[in-house]
Amino acid sequence: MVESSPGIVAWSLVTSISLLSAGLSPVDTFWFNIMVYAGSSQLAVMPLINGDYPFWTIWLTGLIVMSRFIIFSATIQPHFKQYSFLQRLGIGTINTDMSFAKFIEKFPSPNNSDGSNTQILYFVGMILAHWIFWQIGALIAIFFGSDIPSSWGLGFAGPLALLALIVPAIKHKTAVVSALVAAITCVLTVNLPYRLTIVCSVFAAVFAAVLMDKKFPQRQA
Amino acid sequence: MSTVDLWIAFFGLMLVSILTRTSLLLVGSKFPIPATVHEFLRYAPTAALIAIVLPEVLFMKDPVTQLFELNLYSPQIFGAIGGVIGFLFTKSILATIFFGMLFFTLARLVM
Repeated sequence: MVESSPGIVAWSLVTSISLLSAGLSPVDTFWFNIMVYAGSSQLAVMPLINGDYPFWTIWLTGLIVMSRFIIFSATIQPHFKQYSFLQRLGIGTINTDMSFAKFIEKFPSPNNSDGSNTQILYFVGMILAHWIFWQIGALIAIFFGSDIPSSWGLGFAGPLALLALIVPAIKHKTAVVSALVAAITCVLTVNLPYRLTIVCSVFAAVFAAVLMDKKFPQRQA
Repeated sequence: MSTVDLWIAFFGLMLVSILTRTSLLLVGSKFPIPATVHEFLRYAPTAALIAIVLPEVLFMKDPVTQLFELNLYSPQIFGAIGGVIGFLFTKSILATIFFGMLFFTLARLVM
């Protein structure tokens, strides 16, 4: 979980540099990251905040950008169903794309035969580590952001870190087809507003996996 | 936006973040998710990551229209190729970032 820290810090750094250059004060940028902690949603609403749009437009935009997490929360639900409401609220609150992907890669099945707490301990350790790295990136942006030339393209470290999660997940026929369908859907829908391309790609990829399974039922798990 | 308005906006967005991230994790115990559905939802994370990464690699944002335009000759393409090579040889996230940034930076300086 520490391995992906350069990617998270770099991504957070460029996110906060964008927020600052859009006119948000350093103090507001700091609290925005602490409270909302959702880079894609924060970047999407920034023009609306600047344009004095009504609150409901800002919140609705955040909701649509975050809607992929409704699917994610359903995916991790069987893993954590034995925990209390407050425990589930606590661990779900700072889930991220990267945390979710790493967790499902490590624990594809919710089966917890030995009844241990391994899954929840791994998840909590990771989401806390990722949260801290994100806030470190934001602080670097606040204090040193203006010294970092944008031409260096440091933010590209974020997508690269995710690449290291995508490649190992494409390991059998269904996964290859599902990933290809996600990629094609993404290319076709990339200019939809509210980053809806993410939700479209997720639906298409899951649907493709269902179809593949119907066609080749004896696929390896 | 005034400071008070800004904080109302932040507070609402915080609730939106928490609600979406915890939604089915919280109410899911009343509507258990069948094992077959869960098996297919396993493909969701990779698809989401692909849809986050691809626009950064295959496309350039037009500064005027803010639309993504396909660009298959960019430092990002070479960076992604370097990242995948780095990953396949080392299986490490750090090496993926290192080789990706190396290829990206070299391509940026040459192009």
